[in-house]
Amino acid sequence: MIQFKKLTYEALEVGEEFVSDEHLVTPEDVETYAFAVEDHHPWFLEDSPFGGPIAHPTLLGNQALRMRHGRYIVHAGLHAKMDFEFLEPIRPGVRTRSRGKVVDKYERRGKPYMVTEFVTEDENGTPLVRGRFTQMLFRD
Amino acid sequence: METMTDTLPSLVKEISQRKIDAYSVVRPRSIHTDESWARAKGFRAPLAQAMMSTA
Repeated sequence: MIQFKKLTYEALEVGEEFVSDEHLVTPEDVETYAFAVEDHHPWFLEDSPFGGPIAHPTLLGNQALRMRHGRYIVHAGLHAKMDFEFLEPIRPGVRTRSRGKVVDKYERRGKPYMVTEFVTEDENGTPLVRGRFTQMLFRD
Repeated sequence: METMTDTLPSLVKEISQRKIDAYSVVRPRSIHTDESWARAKGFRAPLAQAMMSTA
């Protein structure tokens, strides 16, 4: 059982690890994402050179971003920086999970930031996306 | 050394709250999908998730 606590700069520890729940990528996920970002490329909705449709490579970014919600109550955060490496196409029907680690935290101009490295894998452990993001935390 | 001189055409997208809701999933106490919460955190209106611009 998880004891959720409020995410604060003080509570957060460098080296802390996160893991998401498993997520089944569905055609509806891809369609919703295409609507949200106005990208209806036929590779995502019909066929692609990879054989069958694939998802937008950034589709699973939110799974990585929300890893910390599996341990903390997160009321607000602002994205400051994001790096992605797209390693394999994401195909509808795959089950994915993201794992991450807090690799840094720092204060700049009075604002607290956290830096997380992550990898998103399929059910066989094949890395699909790797990345690193920096988020500003809000103080009350 | 080869240099890249081509310029990609600009891309303009219209951001609506409906699209933000689809991207971020509607939930309370979210600066993206809860207008009153966004204001409580000092913003005039809900914010689009920054990652929406990466797609």
